[in-house]
Amino acid sequence: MGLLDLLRRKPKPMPVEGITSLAAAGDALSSAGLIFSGKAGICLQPPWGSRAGPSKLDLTGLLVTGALPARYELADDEYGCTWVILQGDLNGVVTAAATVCQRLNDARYGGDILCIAFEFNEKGRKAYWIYDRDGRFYPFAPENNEHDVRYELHMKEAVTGILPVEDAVSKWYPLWGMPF
Amino acid sequence: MKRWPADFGLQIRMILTLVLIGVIYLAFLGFLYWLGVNPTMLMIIAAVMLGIQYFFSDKLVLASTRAKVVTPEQAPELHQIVDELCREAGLPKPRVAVVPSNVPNAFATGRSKRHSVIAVTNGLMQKLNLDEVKAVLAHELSHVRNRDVAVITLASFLSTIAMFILQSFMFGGMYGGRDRRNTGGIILLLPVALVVYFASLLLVRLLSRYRELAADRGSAYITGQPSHLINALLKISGVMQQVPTRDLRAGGGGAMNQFYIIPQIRGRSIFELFSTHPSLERRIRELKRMEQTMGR
Repeated sequence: MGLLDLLRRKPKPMPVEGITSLAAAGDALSSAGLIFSGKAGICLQPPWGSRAGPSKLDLTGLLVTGALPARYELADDEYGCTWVILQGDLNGVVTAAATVCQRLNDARYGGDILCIAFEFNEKGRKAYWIYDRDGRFYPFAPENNEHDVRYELHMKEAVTGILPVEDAVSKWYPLWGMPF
Repeated sequence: MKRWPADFGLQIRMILTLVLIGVIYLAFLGFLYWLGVNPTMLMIIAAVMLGIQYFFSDKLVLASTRAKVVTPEQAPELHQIVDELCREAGLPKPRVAVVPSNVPNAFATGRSKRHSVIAVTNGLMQKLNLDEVKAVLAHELSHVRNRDVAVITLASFLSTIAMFILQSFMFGGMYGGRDRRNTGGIILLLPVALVVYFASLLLVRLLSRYRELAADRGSAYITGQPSHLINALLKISGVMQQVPTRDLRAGGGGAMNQFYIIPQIRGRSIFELFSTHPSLERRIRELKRMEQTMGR
């Protein structure tokens, strides 16, 4: 992005292309012991210094413009973020997430998307694949308010070559307490 | 000496790498003869250099890291662990040294089992628990057992020769006149030496990474607990400290990212190809695989 865009604070759209690769990684993930829980959340946080993000009404409007292959609802969290929570099977949720992001991009709200969190179950506990603004996934395995780094590295290893993975562990930001 | 099942995939890859180094070596010698450059002198210089490295590897490394050899009285706990592991692995006990550094790390050096030294940093003893220290020392003892100093020194012979040719080109004039038969081909020498240098360096580093995996394997068999080495590697690598704890939504970097003026450069680095150690994930994966087979 150019300097002018920076001065205008023109938000960058959310990269959409990478999202669908998660559906292709489903088999690799389940053989590594990660089963999709059926839930994902698109987290919207208006970026620093810019105008307010889409209102709930705007969001609902965008969600109903066409059929989505997953159920959806809206939720808030303690950080003031708005979440579009999607429910269904992995293919449906992934497709729906990509579609919703595309609609937000088209409505120039793409810059408000912070990340998309896909929830997985691993032996009774939860682990997430977070899709970030760079169009890459990183693993997040919370355990007592800490990262289970060892398990996160294991998750990364399971999808090498299948998912576009964020290599820099310094960018594996946690999301404690998601509203789903 | 205690024996454990070899990883055939790993062994085949090591042998292939060595064969490839040998093939390049012979091809390069052939090329030098074709040019009329007599490589005997170069080989002697390289042999002397590497000979020094080989025979004095322990002293050179100890001096450059400021490691001090310690007696059982000075470091009873460390000696006790090494004694125990050597008994378990069926190896003669190496000398034991301590490096004054707070960064947790360890290394092994020395040309043979009799002349070997294993060294640990103060940081390793402080930051790792007993099981993890044992796993790291078992990894270093496996290097001793596998004679890795000798293997890598030998494999480096070719890249050392190629490096000499490149250096002498830079200082100029070494290949003028005398018994040269092939004046036209000399222009090829620089690019060929360059290619040989990088190709052989690449292969030596590849071999080095395989030796590391083999030493990880050795550690797992000596201690019987691959997970101890995994924990130690995680602590030593510092990866735990790099993973952020601040929430993405609390300005953890995500929301600001789009306003970065300079896009962050990324992508798999070419330098990974030249790395002497395999990636942390690769090592953990192999150790986890062993954990499963050993459990059965």
